[in-house]
Amino acid sequence: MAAIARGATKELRTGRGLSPRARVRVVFSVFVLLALALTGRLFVLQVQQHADLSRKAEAAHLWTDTIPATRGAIYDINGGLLAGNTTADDLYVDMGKLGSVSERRRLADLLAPPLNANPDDLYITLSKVMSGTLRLKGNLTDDQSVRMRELANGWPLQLQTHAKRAYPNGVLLSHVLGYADLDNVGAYGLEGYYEKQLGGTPGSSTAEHDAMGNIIPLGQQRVAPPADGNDLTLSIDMNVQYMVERALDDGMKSTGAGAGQVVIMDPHTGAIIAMASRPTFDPNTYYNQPDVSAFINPVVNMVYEPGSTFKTLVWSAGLDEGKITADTTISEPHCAIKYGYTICNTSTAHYNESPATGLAVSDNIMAMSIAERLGKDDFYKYLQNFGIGQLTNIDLPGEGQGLVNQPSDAGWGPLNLDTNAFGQGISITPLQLLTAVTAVANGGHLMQPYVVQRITDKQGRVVSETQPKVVRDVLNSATTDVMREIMVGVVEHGTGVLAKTKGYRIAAKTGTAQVPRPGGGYEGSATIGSVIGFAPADDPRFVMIVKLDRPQSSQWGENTAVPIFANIAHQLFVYYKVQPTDYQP
Amino acid sequence: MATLARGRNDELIATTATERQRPDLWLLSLIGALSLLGLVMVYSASYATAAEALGSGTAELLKQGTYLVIGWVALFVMMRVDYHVWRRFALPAMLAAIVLLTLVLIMPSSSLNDVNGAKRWIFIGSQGFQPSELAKLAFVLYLASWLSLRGSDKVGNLTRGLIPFGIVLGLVVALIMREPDMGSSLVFVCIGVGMFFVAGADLLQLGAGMVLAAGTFVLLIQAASYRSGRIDSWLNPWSDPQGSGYHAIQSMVALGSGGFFGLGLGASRQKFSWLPEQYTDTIFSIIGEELGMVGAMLVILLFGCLVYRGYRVALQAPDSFGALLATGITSWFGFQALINIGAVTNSIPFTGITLPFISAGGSALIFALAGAGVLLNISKQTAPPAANRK
Repeated sequence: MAAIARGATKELRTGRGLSPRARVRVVFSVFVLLALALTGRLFVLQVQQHADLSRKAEAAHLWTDTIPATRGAIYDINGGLLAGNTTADDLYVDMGKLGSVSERRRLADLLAPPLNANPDDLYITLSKVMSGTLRLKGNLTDDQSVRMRELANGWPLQLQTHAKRAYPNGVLLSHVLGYADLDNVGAYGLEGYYEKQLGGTPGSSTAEHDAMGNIIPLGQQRVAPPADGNDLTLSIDMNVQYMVERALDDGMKSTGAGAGQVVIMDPHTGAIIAMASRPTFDPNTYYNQPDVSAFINPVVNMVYEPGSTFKTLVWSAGLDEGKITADTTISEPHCAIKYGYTICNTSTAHYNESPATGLAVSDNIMAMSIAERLGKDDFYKYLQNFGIGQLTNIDLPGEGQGLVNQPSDAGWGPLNLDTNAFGQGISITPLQLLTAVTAVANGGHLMQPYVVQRITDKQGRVVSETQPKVVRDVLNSATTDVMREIMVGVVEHGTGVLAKTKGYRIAAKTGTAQVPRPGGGYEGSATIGSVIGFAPADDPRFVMIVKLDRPQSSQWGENTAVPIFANIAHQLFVYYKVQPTDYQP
Repeated sequence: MATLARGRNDELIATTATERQRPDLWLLSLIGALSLLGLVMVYSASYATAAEALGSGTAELLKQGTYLVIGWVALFVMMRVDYHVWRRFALPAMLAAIVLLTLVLIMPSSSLNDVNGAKRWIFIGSQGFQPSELAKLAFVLYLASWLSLRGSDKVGNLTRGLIPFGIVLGLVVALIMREPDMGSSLVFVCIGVGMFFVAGADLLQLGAGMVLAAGTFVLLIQAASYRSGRIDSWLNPWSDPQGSGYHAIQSMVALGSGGFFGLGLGASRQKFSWLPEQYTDTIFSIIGEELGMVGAMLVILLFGCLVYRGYRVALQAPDSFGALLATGITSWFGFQALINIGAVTNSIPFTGITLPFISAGGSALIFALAGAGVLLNISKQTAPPAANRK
């Protein structure tokens, strides 16, 4: 071995120039020089640029996430859930990890059946993007989520879970509830009106994160917990609402009406018990609604000409001012000429007619006569007191005010007094009229209508409780006593006869209004048929308005709206266990 | 340093492989220290992502531990086998390496062998194997054998030295560049040029050859847009922080936020999926982030000592084969470490290459430890200079 060693040394030493020994030293020196250079580089990065790079690290790692607050639930008066929270998954595809064309094709074929999609369309979508994350579908159904989670083993699929509003009763009460959108922000209805109460205050989490957005366990973290939203308990009774919606659906089917609304109120408190509109929408899938006008609540947001139901208020005002009494007799021709316009009754001329008969047959000429007896000042003072042309201040968004021209307005003429007397030339919301008639039902007090009975926090503590509010006293009880009998007469032997029910006294007034053309005048045969009333007449449990737009079976409200009114009233007598007057135990 | 000068000293010491001279304990300790530091840092750097991806925070630690055991067994085996034995395997090993390097290129692409768009792996079942790691050992062995047989006269000759050498090196580098793996290619160049230089290269020829190679390299860069794009993103990584500059930026952010003393062992933030390959190719940045410049310099110092002892073995090797073998193996460890650190500090264009003994890895770690075993065997056969003996 020693010989080899000596030989090797010789071999290497015969090289030109540098000795092998020096050459190894050169290589080592090159290493040392480079290592020193890298040490210098480390000094630059770790000492000189330390502050700057630390800032950059923090800027990348440290951020604040919003912790969403749990949205408050909405319950009916009996604690039934109307709006709650659930979760839904959104499906994402990590396009960068999706491989070849054939792989994309295979995934499209796999995804198409569970997602109810066309495989070719899906393939086109999956082929368009080569990088990044693609949101393929939002709000998966439970079955879809399960299937996608299976497929995520082996495919670059990601599911992101988020809170989603759920309306377990579907279309029930939809116009009152509104909806919470995909960001869980309320829109329309109570969801919109009570957004601050329901939405709560989101919290925040400031923490260091990994590149996937997960919080680094050992890093710094500051958490401000969210304040969850409050729960609403409504004055709405889900059972009544259900009855009402079913009756409205049936009535619309049999009359062929294009739209319809029913509202039921407690005449003593102003609490809304049911409020229904057709056509409707499902707040669970509000985004499928092509036209946003579907979300508008016609009861509160849209105005119409009330027609003859309005006479209830005119008769009440005449009685209350003493311009007429129950025993007054008025003789009127079939038609009257007012300021160049001929106004007629639907029936023949009436002579020596009582106010009760006049209302029972819906006498337009008598209505004008009462209005003229009141005079414009008292007539419009009463409309004002009834809240006509004013907001009811119900706790629902976008309430319509309506329009009543006052004598002081430029657009007012003496003819207005006459036409207004039978409900033409004014525009009001169905809720306004219902609220006004509530005063007739409850002894003369105009109540402020409300939908939310109680607001409670997540611990169940009551945040606020709605107390019934009398806006003003409009009528004397003597007036309402007479009016009650007159309105019972409408049902017993007048236009409301289809609501006549053995054993129950029902007070009501029907109406058939023409539909104003936007440019002036009225549409030919289209009408709005309606009825407003309360029962039992002597101690009313409810006051109700039924309104049908453009019914086809008959243009008269007494034939279209009244049967719906009667149907609901009969169910409510049973539901409220109202004893019939001839009941003998 | 003394052995190569031993010509001056005619007194010969009989040193044989069978004679039980102790291996260079400094070398052994340094490799042990690097292995241990690697094990600790692999655990620290991997537990967060391993818990997420593999279901257990210790998954990478256990794998690294297993590879270390295999590697150290290989080290001790190689340490006991007389390195002269390997001479007869030099050519077959080199041929086998070239076949495998070719195979890795022509194998059908699959998600298994195609890691981050580069084909560097051969998979047997789920166990990956990098032919370029085997090739390093085979290349060092082959060059040592070839150059020592040729002798410095021929090595200095253009047609019998530089040109054949250039062809062998060029072939290996060309194959590895095709994967593509610029970092490993650079390691082969450093090993090859270092050995050729020590073997007695004519400096003028070597200079000319290097100029030629550099020219070719520049042409290659201009020929492929991804290579020139790589130069652009090296010079200005912040121009595309989410794309081509991402690796370099995350690596520098890790080092920079560590500062002089570091965030503390285990306290890296960048290892939480910000820094890619944080327990393999870029583990040095995590060391810098957790242990600061102090820790990073310790690693450089450990490699410095390792390289010093390695070249010392080369100088004291009993023959030119051993001297060249020791030079090659030492250059392999030393320059691969420099290239790795150069890459993660953005001192050179970013390239994925492991830090010897420290980065997690199977074939890289096992072949490096096997190579270290060969180096240690040479150290057992060194003839210390007379001046140092009693």
